[in-house]
Amino acid sequence: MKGKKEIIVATVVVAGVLLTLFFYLMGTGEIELNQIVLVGIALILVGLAMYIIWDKIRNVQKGLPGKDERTISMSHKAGYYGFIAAIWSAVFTPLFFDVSSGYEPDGGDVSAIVVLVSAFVFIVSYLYFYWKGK
Amino acid sequence: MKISRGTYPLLFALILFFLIRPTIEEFSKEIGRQINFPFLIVFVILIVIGFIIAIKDKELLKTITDERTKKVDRFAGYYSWWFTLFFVVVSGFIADIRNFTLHQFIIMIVTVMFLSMTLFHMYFNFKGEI
Repeated sequence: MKGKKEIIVATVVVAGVLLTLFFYLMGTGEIELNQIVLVGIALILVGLAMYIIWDKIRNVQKGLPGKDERTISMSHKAGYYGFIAAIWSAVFTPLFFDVSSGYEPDGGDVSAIVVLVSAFVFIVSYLYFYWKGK
Repeated sequence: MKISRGTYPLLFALILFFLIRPTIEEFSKEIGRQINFPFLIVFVILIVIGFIIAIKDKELLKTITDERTKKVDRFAGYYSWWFTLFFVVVSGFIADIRNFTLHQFIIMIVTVMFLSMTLFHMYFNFKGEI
């Protein structure tokens, strides 16, 4: 069935992310505020992704395609906004840390922030187009 | 975005001179000094080519946009976003191992972002039907 493969892959990815977060938290001795924020954003992303997957599963069960012209167009538009967010987050992350705390983030911090911010913008704009009917 | 056939050489010239050259310079000052002049020549050549194409296409002052060009923008943004995410994750690990400075890391990912966006845009634009 059209889109069934994507649903399976997305479910496996979500399960993988949840498992990684679980092991990450288990491996950390004392949980600090920045870790809570990071894991919180990741959990929000997982929650929103699960909603999209659940909706697709519902469509497939009804006999509708899991992926059609409209969802592809929505993904492309949301991806475009995600890309813009990735550029700006890469440029402004060091500036933000410098102004707010004086702490200089390393490469790993910047890549985590870029991935999280752009993924967040992607999912939020995808849901916006989805609910708006664009 | 208003990118046309004549804008590509201009964009490549800007990326080459204001992103790729400083990125190389950030990693090695010696190589950076050596590539300065050749990069300047290529920069000027690309700008001239861009202007010639823009004049030929009658798009020097105004770029013509339609549904297809908007679609090309979205496709290029979408695919370069995926490429960027992959690159940022991989280079994040490498940056931690090889102890890149923050400035080196940022300029590297911004260069790759703009370069991938331009290349994908060019690919989809010249592909014809998308």
